Amino acid sequence: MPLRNLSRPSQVTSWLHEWGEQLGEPAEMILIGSAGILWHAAAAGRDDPLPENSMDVDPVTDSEAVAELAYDAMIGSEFEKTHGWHVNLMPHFALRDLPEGWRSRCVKATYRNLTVEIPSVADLLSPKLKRNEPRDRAHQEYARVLGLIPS
Amino acid sequence: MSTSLLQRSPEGGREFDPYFVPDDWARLQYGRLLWRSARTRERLLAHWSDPRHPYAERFLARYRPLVERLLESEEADNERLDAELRAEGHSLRTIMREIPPVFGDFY
Repeated sequence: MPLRNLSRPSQVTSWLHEWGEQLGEPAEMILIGSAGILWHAAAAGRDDPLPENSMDVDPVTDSEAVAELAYDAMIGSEFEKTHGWHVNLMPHFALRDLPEGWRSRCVKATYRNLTVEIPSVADLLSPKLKRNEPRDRAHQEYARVLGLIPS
Repeated sequence: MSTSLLQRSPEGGREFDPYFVPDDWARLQYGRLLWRSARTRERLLAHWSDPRHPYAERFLARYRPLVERLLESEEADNERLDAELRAEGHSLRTIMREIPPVFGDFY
């Protein structure tokens, strides 16, 4: 069973720092899903836990080095045992679920050799709200309570 | 792009595609990326051939040449590959699903 211990914004930023240090040369990725929302919470200075723990983070990348790190962080890996969650690389096609123009609304953050693009909170929530499962609505409420989206 | 491939791939008309499996496309996209390096290619092959891997037997007995053909190709080749594979009794989708996953406990 995959571990499901991702809940705090600081877990996401710690992981990004870790990969930024591990990469031997500059690389980029896009972070989508609930980990992206957690990143925004961390950027707002909050470390409130998600209402329901997550089992993974969802990056998209063209970087061979980032993909290699991600393959070493899959279900069952040492990474998962250490962190309590795993990395689930998403295909480029997943970005098509985001609203038009999402790229222009991204925030960029650099962690030594790793540059991460994070879509806006509203854009990250958009595919979740189309799916509209209880967990998705809980993520929307989490973002609202933290002031990441308008009430 | 042919209508048939559009119906089966997320490159268009995705909302009408009941067969779209993001994990399959991720294994194709990132498998291609890691296949470029001899070191990661060898590592993947060793993992997929490991007797502990649930795909190992059928990968080695039947699908390895087809999977390698996919991983040696590029995204722009998808339509041509699909047509070729169909002529051989397969399809891009079915062979994509034969790209073995990676299991972190013995990768």
